[in-house]
Amino acid sequence: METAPAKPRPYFVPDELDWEALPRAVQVAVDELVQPAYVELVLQASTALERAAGATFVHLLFLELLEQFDLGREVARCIAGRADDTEGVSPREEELRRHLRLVSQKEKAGKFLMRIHEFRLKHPHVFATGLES
Amino acid sequence: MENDGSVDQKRRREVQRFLAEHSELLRRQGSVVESWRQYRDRRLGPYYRLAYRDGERQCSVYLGRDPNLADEVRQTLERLQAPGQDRRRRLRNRDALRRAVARSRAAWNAELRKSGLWLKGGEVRGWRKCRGKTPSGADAPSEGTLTGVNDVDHEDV
Repeated sequence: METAPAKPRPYFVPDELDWEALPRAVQVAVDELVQPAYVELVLQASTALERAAGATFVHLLFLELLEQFDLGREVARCIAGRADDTEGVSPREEELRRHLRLVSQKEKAGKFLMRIHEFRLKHPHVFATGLES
Repeated sequence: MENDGSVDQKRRREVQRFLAEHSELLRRQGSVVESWRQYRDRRLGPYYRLAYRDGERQCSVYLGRDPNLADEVRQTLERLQAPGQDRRRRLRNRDALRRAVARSRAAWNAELRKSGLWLKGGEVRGWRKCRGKTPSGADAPSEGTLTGVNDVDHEDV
């Protein structure tokens, strides 16, 4: 059976991350979800502040995706009753709590970006003269 | 010849039994090591052994000279250790992304500070202080500052 070729590494992926080791499903999700967010929130950002907040949002989104995938696998393994015969264990409460904290942080970064966006619509002249001036 | 075969078969069975009995230990560690011996001017080998650690002790199981048995043991170890290696790879990737998040948050915080705001946890703080500093007052956003963002929504972001 022929396997699909691995997706090329997106340029915003940190150097120390082993892209090839990511499951194909995660690579596709990064390509379909994280990449467009990076283009919109970082590459098309008009100020350094928006760019920095956008980069944080994008990295949090990527991490959320990765954790969701891992949690999903662990839950599936647990349901299949194989939690004890491999190194994986069922997701612990602490892991779930940490994941929820991550989602909450992403939401806060997103809210900030929305707020900036609404501000831009309300006061276009501020952005016309430049926020950092 | 027949004798050699039976010794090999016996060793194979012993090694297989050892692998089955110690699978829990070998899930985390263990490898097949190749070694050579010097006899007068001749280099003999390779001789294979399964090396592993039992607590602080370095131990090994002699596998003999049969490369097929060595390959079988290698494959068994790979199969046993694959879930652990996969898990470690995933953890390394998560750590790499966490570091990337920390770096981008630091950059975001540095940009916020230029506008008199700062990050605390995931929250952007300092809106009121920032507004208080504005020479033009609270109602209108002053040009070149982010103070007016506070007019959009009264909740802290």
